[in-house]
Amino acid sequence: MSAIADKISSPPAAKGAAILVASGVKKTFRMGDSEIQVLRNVDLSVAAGEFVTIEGRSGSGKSTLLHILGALDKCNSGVVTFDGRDIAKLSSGQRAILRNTQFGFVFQFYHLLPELNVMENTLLSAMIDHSLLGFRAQKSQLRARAKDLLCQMGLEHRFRHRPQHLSGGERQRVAIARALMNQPRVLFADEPTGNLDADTGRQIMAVLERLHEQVGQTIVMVTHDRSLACKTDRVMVLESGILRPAQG
Amino acid sequence: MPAIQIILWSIVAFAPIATIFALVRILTGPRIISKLMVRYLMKRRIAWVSLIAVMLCTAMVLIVISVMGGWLRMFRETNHALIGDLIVYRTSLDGFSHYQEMIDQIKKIPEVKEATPTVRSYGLAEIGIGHTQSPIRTPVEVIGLDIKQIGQVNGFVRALHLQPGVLRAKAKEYADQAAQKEREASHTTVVPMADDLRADAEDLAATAKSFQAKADAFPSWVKPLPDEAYLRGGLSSSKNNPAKFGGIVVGCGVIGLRGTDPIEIEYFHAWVKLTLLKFSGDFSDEDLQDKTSTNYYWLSDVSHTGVFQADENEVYLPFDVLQDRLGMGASTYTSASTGQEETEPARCSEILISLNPGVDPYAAKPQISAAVDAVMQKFDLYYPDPGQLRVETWDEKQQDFLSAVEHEKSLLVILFAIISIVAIFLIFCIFFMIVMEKTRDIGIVKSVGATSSSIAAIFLGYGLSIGLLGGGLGLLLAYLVVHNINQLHAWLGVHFHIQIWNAKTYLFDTIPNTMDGHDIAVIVSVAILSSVLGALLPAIRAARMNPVEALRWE
Repeated sequence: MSAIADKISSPPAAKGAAILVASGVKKTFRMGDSEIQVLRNVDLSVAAGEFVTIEGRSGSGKSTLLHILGALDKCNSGVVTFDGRDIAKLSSGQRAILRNTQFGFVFQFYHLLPELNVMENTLLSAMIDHSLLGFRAQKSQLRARAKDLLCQMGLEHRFRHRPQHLSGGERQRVAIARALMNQPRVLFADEPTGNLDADTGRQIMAVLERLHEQVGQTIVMVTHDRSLACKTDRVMVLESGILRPAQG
Repeated sequence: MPAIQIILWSIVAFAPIATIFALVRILTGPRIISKLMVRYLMKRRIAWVSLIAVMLCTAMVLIVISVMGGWLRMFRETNHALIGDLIVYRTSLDGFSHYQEMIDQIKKIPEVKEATPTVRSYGLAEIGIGHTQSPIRTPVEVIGLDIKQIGQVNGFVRALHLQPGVLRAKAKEYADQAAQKEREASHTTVVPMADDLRADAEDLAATAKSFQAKADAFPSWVKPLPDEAYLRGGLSSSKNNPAKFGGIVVGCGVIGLRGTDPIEIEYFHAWVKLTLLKFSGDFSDEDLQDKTSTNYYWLSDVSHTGVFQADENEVYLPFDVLQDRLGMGASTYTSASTGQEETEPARCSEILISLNPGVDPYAAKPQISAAVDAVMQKFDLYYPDPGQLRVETWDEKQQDFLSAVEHEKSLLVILFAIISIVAIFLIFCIFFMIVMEKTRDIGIVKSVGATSSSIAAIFLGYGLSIGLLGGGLGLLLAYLVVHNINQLHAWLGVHFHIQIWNAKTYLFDTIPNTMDGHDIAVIVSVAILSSVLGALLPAIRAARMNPVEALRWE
């Protein structure tokens, strides 16, 4: 796996250089006899260290665009490049490695595994990246990193708890810690506050802002909340399948 | 090859491939495979149903195969032990003559170790045990054999109660008890008590010596036992002289004993009155009057071969005694048809042959047949069907029975295949449910970077672990049941009046309680492979899931 990972990974782009570029991206869904065009010639360039928000109404295709950018889904036409490489030309295994080693995902509904505790959920991407013996060999370092991330998220007292015993905000912070475990180049956040109350949502947003400011984390966030979007470097609006910069 | 067979074999071939794939991925693939596999196994109780199903199927098949295979093995071993390697016999009770010439020729064959004649007939036995009991009256199969030679040919001597090994063991047991009493006496300060202990020790030592003497004198069973038994029972008015009684060995079942029952000394004071039908050499004489032979014997030993029919029906006499009592010895008679004096050579019923170690009975059979044929030609012997003289290996002699059981075993294999299919289908259904239920988890793991092969390996490994655990627990359960099957059977009989094993039907008085390593390896492997096969399609479905659709799964 590491050999393929070496092929995919490349030296970090200089701050300000385009790291993730989408051009002419189209995506259609077939619903019975009719086709729904969700994305129409979407162009987007995300620079290293940039915090970009994609804003739009529910059902506007924001999440679909995020999935395509994050190598979870494929577009019907157009090109998405990461570090200059066309994601569509990678095999499904290579895209999986890309998601594991270069990208991190935070979802609206947290998506933690109920069978694993907080520590194990945080270690999920590391457990995918390492073999049985490899993980055992580096267990202490990996656990130390997971502990560090969880402590940063204020979850130092929750290591052995299961997701179902956590509040929504705590779950989302575990999801962020999990996404950061393998030190991703790009963090994708799909409505990270969408399922939280306003106060907790602000706390989660503060975590993302801190990540961006303190470690220069590249973040692509999808939200329909204008007040959150305003706190990021750049806001793009997706409307009727067309992505354009937000007014004002 | 028909298409259906190709499909079936392809499916069967997938199981080992999938098993190896799962094992390799668990050991060398991402850590998450073994983590989720174990966690699902512990947390998803629905999967325990498939685990229990695999366990029960494995245990059931192992128990049935072990009992049936064990029975077949016991049957083969016991028959081999009682017959020897080959047998020359006639189905007619007349027997055949010139057997000694045949034996001489057979013994010249280098592969032959020993050959001995036996006589076989039927009679009515009346057995008196003790004063109070009324005599046992029963039809018996009477076998005449040479105790000094039979041990060289088959395992009959091992079936005797008073064989030297048993007698020596008893001698040692009594000697040990005597020594113990002596030690106790030396530590006792109370003089009368010490004297009593020493007296006990002397008695025990005397008993030990008596058993040792019997062991050293073996085979003493053919000798009469004119001891105090003469004074007991109702024989004093008998016209027979007890001092001239010969010894007879009876099957334990003939006197109502099971193989495991203790044999009390009173049985060795029992008398046996045996009535036989004689077959004279004068075949022209159709008059059967005055052709019965009735004689008394002392019961001098009890045999336990383990074969129900033999133990229930057979009694054993010295070869020459039975030959004489049946009128099968060499004789001169006046022919009823010609009125002239004729000579009839001695006859036997069968010749039991043992071969040197490692010699295949089938390889030696043609030479033995040739030796028998040569003697028949020399003496112009002719035995037409159905009383033809046959040379057969020990398993050919039992072929009808053995092939029937082999067929039953084949049917069992088919049954096992059906059970495996049911288990595979059950695992498939449960795993399909689990994969549906875990769709979102699959999406999460894929979104974090798991490859499709890792997802497949999680569920194949899950199936493999169910197979390993279910197969292992099934083996343990089967081991416990098989090794205690006779006790369980007795318990069922006592508490629920259920008798599954009928010794009359199955020939042995105990249920086989051993397991065959080969059977274990095959059955447990099939259980494991079936579990993986059942998980195969759900695993493929899980691997092919689109992560985005899986994440949106409601």
